[in-house]
Amino acid sequence: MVQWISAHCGDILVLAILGVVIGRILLRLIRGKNSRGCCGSCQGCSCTGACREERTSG
Amino acid sequence: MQIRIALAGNPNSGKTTLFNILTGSNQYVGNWPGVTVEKKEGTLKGHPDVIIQDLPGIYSLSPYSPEELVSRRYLVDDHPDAILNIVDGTNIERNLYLTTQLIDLGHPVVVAVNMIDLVRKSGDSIDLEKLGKALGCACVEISALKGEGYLEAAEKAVELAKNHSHGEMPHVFNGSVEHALAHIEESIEGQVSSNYLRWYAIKLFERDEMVRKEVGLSQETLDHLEKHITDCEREMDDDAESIIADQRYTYISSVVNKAVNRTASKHAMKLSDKIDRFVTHRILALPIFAAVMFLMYAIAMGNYPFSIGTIATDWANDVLFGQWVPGILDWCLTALGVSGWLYGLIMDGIVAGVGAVLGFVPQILVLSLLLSILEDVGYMSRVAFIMDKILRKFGLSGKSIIPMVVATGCGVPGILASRTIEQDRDRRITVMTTGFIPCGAKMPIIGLFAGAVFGNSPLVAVSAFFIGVASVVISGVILKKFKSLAGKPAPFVMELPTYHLPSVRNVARATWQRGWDFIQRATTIVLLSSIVLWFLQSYGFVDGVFQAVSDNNVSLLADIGKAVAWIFYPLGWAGDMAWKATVATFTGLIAKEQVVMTFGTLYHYAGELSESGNEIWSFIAADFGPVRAYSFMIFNLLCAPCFAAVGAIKREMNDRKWTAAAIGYMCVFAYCISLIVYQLGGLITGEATFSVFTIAAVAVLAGLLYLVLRKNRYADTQVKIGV
Repeated sequence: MVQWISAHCGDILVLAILGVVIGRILLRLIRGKNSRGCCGSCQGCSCTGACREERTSG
Repeated sequence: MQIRIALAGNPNSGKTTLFNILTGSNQYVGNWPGVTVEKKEGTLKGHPDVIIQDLPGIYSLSPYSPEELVSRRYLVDDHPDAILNIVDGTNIERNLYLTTQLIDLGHPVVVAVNMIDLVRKSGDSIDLEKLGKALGCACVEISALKGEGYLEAAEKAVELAKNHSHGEMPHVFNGSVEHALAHIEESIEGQVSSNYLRWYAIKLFERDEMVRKEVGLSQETLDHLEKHITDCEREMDDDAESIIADQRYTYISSVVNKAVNRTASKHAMKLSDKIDRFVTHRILALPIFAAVMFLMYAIAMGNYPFSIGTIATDWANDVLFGQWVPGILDWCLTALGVSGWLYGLIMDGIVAGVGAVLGFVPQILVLSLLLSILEDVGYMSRVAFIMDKILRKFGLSGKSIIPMVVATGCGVPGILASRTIEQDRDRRITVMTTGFIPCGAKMPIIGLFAGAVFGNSPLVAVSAFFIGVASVVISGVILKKFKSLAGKPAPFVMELPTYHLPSVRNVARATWQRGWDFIQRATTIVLLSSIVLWFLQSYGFVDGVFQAVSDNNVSLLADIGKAVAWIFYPLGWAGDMAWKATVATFTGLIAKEQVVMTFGTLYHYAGELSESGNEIWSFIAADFGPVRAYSFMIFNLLCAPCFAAVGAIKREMNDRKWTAAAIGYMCVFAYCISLIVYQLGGLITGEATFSVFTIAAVAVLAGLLYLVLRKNRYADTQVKIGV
């Protein structure tokens, strides 16, 4: 087991980083929010903020 | 206690600019009317209990289009604590019309005279004390663009909202009208909120249908009111609505005469007018527009010494994503001793796919910067004016232009901007055709083929833009001849804003937003797709056994692509490139950047690509001849937009059948144009041979010409305004 881990520690590290990156992206997509707090229906496209009708920003 | 302040004013009076500085938001600002189509909320900086509500621009409280309705509903039904009325100081007469209506609502009103810097520059002055006294409300002067006086305006509104104080109603109407209004007020007392009594009375006098329905008066009361209205009309020899409008303008004239000191002659030609003599000239306008577009694309995507977009993109492709990023990652992954499959996933999948898209960021940024400058100086409003003249000749509404102009950035807000169109039918046509305009996400497709096949010619991008515009025009002409979409086009009245130097803040904000959105998608949805795509092209069934494959022509992706590639055979998608082009087209439905990402992944596969990112271009050039490349590009520019835009279409159509019709129409239209381009263009250049598909292309061309030229049987159909 230890041998296997030491042989694949590079893979494990890279996969862990990749996992975090993909996880964050998926979470963002599932939650449906982009960085500007919009609903995400525009996938971060030039956002008009139209979906923020009832949201407080600023 | 929470205080709500509504920002209300005419279109393009500077509401969103003021909203941004008051709340610290980054809402998109455009120098044309109709930028804001839905209300937006933010908190006043330093006052967490004060909510600022940015409303779509309205000329009056008698709405004709859906976005105007949003404003009216908020102002009338949601009872804001105060109204901050933004008035364009350079067009004060027209702007005060809405002001008089807002005052009638009975809320505390603060009039913020915006663009005061331009008023001063023209030599005019506005006596705020006299103006405030005449209107019965507080007046402050501001310049939202330069950040002058905005805090004073907001603080005044907060103060009035806290004290619930509003001034005395001005005497706008004459005795006859006031007499009728008094009777109406008496009749509806108790049926509407006492605060709004006067406003409802005026609206009922104007025979406002929405108010009549809302108040729900008995027929007997309505008949009684009608008698008073008719008496007044007879006495004034005019209809009720005109009487109110006329008396408001008469009153405004007297207010302006008292408060505004004009030194410049009303008829003196301003610099803006002088520029417009050329820019909107009957003959010169279109060539100037074409030249501006050519110059813009030449700077962003051309192959000239001044083409900074191309120079930066070449660097990004060759050096950044061709050497630095792969070099660093190669070193890291080798040092970590990662497995071959993981190395392949990162280098051939993610770096190749995402890198291919990110390589175009410089071109997108330069293009966005130039577009933002054109918008901010006021030129894009002139484009709308120029295009309106052309569209009207084809029986289309000039109002479709604003969505088209907005769509050059992104199709989603472009489709949302169709709300400024009053008529359902015109709005549907606009929603169906706005996606034809090349948006920022489609730019990498154009950039890829322009670079790979056409030697970075800016004509490719310019032609793509004009093909988009031509598709809108042709589609409009065709669709207008169907009964369900027929009708006379809606009148288009748009004020041309004065030219001004671009605001660094607005231009930087718009450029950054577009560029950042592009980067965000490349690092989220495109990244995920590149992983899926890498897996599908790296594995497959060989001799019935599922395993890693070294030739992506036998991969799962190739199998999927080949199963549907036959659909595109008439478009010239044949041989090995057929399944790649098919896969790229389908992935483009997720987001249009995916088309380039797909090529990046497919052509980079298994180390086919060496150091230079641009080598992908030589592979693509070998697979796609010029006509085939152009045909592929056109199909991807005109076919169904990305899922986000499809969602926007569904939302605006509010009907599944119409949504399906819109998407279906776009796909069929794209297929037809692409077929004609490849079959007939290829026949001329020798890239295609005469076949049954050539005959099909001729038949499709004849069919299109028939649809365009046939008589419109429904040309005189009357349409209702769909509010």
